[in-house]
Amino acid sequence: MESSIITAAQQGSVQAFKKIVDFYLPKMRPVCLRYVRTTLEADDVLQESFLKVYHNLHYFKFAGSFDGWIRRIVVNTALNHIKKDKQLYALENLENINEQNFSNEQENDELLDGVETTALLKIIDELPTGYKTVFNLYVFDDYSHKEIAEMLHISEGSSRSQYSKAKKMINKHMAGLRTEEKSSLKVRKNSNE
Amino acid sequence: MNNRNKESDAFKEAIRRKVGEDTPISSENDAAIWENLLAEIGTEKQISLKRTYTLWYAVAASVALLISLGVGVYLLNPANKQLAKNQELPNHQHYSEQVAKQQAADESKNTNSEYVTQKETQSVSETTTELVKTREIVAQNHQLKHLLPDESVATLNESSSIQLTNNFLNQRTVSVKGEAYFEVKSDKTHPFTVHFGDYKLEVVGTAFNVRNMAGENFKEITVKRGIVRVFDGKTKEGILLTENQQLRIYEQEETVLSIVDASNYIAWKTGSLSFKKTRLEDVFLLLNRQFNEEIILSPEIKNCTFTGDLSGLSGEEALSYVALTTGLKINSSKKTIYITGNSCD
Repeated sequence: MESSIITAAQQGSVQAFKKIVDFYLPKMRPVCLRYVRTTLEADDVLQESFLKVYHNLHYFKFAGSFDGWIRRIVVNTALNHIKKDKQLYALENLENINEQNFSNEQENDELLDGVETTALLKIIDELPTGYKTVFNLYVFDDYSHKEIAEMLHISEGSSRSQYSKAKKMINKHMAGLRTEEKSSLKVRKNSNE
Repeated sequence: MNNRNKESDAFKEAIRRKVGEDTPISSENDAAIWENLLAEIGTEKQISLKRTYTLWYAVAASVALLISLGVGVYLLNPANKQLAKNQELPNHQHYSEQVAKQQAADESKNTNSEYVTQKETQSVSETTTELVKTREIVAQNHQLKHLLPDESVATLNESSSIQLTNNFLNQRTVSVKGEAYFEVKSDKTHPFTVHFGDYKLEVVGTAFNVRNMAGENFKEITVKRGIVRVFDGKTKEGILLTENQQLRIYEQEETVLSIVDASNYIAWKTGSLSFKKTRLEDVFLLLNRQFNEEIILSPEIKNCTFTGDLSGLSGEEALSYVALTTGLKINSSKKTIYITGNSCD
């Protein structure tokens, strides 16, 4: 986004702000969808986020990317929405995953190669909320475990362990996909929601 | 060693490589989302500013952008404390007299004298999601007239800013850094409150000037019209000011109430500078403010008076005119101008 448009919006130009919304709204929707359940919720989060963007434009000092700044607002707003989801914090009660270790990187890569992207995304999407949130924040939105801990009010160690468990679960599902032709996900789908 | 913001591991990298960048997703809802945003912004814009100048956002250190609004607690003085010290200058009514009158009148009242605590506005890029709703208007290189949501008008001097709450219509509260002139629309059910530094004032409907400059050891309130109640932290009930009265709240010394020609204290806004038997000390204070100079008076001429209209004159012209009519001598060395003359004491 050109800095002249941002500046114009900071000075109150509604047209400039519309350009910002037109450009970033579709961009931020996938970000939202990583954290909320439905597209309806995502739209609510997006609307709320862009209103916050509008009210806080003057705080953007052109230090760091505008994209990153908006993304943070969107992620924070989305997390606020899902904080009400109790399962987010039901860390300890989740089923014990078979602790088979897929720590071999080569095996991991092979697993990833053998799985279609859409299937992988589905696996991630069907992770238990807590794991999924940490995983998404870490992998796709580039937050550190320290930042994730602050945002979710958990310990940094908890963030790391949830990420680790998410990894294991993903690997397990990918392995399951490979060994069975049919998706094994349907069996697991309802176990932890 | 991990970069704080960009921790990574092989799995993360592999997943990102595979999934790729987010693909923007449009929706039929997008238009509706914009309509809603526009509606919410539009309501604010209707009742908000009619800018005649463009806004700049200050980057200079002299104008703090994240304003910490005065979280003040009254320093309550015992009711019968004597405020001594006499500055026997013409036109200056001492604060203690004013206080004595008010205390006598207000002894029985029991008003809440706590300052409204305002939270700091926070940068959205922090991880907290609590956003306190305030709005800030900043004037950098130009004066700026701002229409407040209640149709009051605030005129900001250069390098000044005001901050107002988003629920302004319910609670008319602003804080000032720098200098601003307020023309407050009368609304008896909603007192208009201005915070400046650790102090505040309240009005119902009036016109007054607030000067809260970093680097000056006093705050200055000048009333052009109406009645203003100023809370200087020393009086529970505050000090009532009316037309052509001025209050100076000093950090270390007593608060001083003076009679002035209020028009001259808004010369920064109007350009009108007209004196009638005004002490030179005050004349040059205003000239210094108006022309951004540092003219120094020698002590013996501070009490000499000047009568004349300096509106529309340049700094040099004004100085020459005053010197000529008052019989003064101008000595200018490198950067400062010294004025001397015959004593009037």
